[in-house]
Amino acid sequence: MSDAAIEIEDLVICYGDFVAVDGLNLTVPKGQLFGLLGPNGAGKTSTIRILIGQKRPTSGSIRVLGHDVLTDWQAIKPMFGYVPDRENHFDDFTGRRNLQIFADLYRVPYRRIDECLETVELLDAADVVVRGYSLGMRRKLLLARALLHKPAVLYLDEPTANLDIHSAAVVRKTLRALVAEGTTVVLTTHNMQEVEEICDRVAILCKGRLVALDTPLSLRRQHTERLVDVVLLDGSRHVFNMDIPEQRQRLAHHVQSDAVASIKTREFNFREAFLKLTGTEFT
Amino acid sequence: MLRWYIIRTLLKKEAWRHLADRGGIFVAFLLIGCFALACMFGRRFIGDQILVGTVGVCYVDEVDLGQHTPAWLSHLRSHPPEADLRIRFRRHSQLPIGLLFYGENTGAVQIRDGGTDHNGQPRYVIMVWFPGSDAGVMEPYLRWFWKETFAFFGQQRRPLQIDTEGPLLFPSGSMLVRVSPQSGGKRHFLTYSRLENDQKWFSDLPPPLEIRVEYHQLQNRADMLSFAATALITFAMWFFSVFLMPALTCEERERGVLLAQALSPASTLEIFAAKFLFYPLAGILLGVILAAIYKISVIVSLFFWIALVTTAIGYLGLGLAIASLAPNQRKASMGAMCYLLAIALLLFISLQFRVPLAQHFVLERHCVRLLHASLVGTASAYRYEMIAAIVLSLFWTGLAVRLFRRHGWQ
Repeated sequence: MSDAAIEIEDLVICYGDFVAVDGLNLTVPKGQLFGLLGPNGAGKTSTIRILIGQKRPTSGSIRVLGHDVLTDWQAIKPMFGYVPDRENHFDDFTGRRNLQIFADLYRVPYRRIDECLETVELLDAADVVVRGYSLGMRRKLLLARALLHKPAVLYLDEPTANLDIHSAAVVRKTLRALVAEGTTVVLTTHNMQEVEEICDRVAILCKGRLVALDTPLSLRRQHTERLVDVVLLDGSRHVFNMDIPEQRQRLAHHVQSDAVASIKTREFNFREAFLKLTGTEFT
Repeated sequence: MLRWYIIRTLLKKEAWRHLADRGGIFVAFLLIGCFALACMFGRRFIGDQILVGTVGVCYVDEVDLGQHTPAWLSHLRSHPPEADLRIRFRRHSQLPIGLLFYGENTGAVQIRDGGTDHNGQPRYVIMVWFPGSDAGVMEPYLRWFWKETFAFFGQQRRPLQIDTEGPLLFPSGSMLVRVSPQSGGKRHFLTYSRLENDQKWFSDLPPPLEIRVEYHQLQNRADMLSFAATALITFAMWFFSVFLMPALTCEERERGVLLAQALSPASTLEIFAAKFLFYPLAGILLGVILAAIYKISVIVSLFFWIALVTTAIGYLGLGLAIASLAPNQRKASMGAMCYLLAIALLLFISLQFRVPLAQHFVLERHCVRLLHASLVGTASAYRYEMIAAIVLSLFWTGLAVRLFRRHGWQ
């Protein structure tokens, strides 16, 4: 049995003449929280649409938990959950009733509804009509719905977008807890901090191609610029590159001569790394 | 394979939606309430009124003619009306023994043996039976009847002598009759134009065939409530399957809820099945209630159920086609309204400008007749409509399934 939850081989997705994904090869091991990043038009959404069976690829093969997405779709359906980027609830129903419908479809006992609502801290609002929910509550309800049947693979499209700090933290905590239980989570996000905080691995797509695939830490190592910003007592500003011996010595000299007003190392900047890798601004 | 627990869940979901937003339920109760009131208090006011052209079926019955059908009637049988008229020929042997009964919204032309004239030639009596108080409702049928009758006897070089005390309901334009002086309330007509055109026949003119025409009012009446019931039942089916179903399906699609269901264990077929069951069933239920208010005995009629189910399936196909093509809820509602208007205009133009073929492709042309026939008990005359309605219903359903599978929830 393969350890891969998702195996994508030579995936090509075309919309007419436009190539959205161009020969993507990607393997997501089981039990990882995998981030899929890229600028608009990079092919993230197209890839997700293939994974959730809403589009057929132009060519290539995709296997989820050992099942071919194209030929064995019905077997895959109960195994994954999907949190779309926009909420899609029945507004006239309560949160609980929304989940009841899907609990019935998945043949999940109703007590699981309360568990999921509690996980996303919505139990108190369970019997409130969704029309009265805030945006954050609606998004958390999406996650609760996706968790109902304890999916082995969970796809999330920008799960923390527009959430307040507390709600975003709840979602992140929930995702980490799921991964700890062995669930494979694939998320797309624009939140760099989120990627660094919770993702085990990150794939960066640009113009339909994979430009980077690594852990956030490794990306940090590869792309951190070892620069130090210094403001001297005379008001002058300097930048010292720690990779150049002369500049290291000059910085040391300034520090020893007590001429430094402030000193600050430049932290790893995912945005800059992303810009370098993709040649485009993150949107 | 269809899984009942999934279909049950999806049906429950549809019911919850309507309970949460009660617009559809309100309309249903409004229809039932209004029609119940109309039936309770309206019969005495509108029962005797009739609209011109509301004879749904005209029987041409050979009464007292024995087993031998005259060539004249064979000619009529082989030359049915071009216009969209429903004629039922019945030979003497096919008629029930005893009193002839004609259902509501039917008329009849009875050809009876009138004895022999002084030359020993047979005479005929034409009895025109019409519903309501206006014999004019029979005009389209009589126009055809006399046109073909004159054509036949013209070919035979046989003049006709027609006596009647009733209205002049002969073909306009190429009149083939001459009015002789009125005597004793009777008017005599004699076919002549063919003879005038060919003077050499005039000398050896055979004696005219004598035909007496009588007009009789049927004891039944063209029941306006049957038309109202038909209209309301059709509206009920349209409302649930063509209006509500696409609007709510589009809303689900617009909001992504349809996609959420499609990603759940529910298969395309099961989502279909639930929609196929809920909306037509709701339409059928409302239709049955309305029909039962009109005439309770209708609901045990097999023909009524076939007509109802055929209409429901056809409308479901239409509804799903609109749901698949309309990008959002508002356009789905507009699409349903536009469809209704377009069909009404098409039928109107088709009838007014005599383009009979066009209307045969319209589901409503057949279904409305089927439903009305089932309500007034003239079902046996509508075999063609039944076949056409089934074919059109299957066509719409097949098209809808294809469209929905292609981009139903995208």
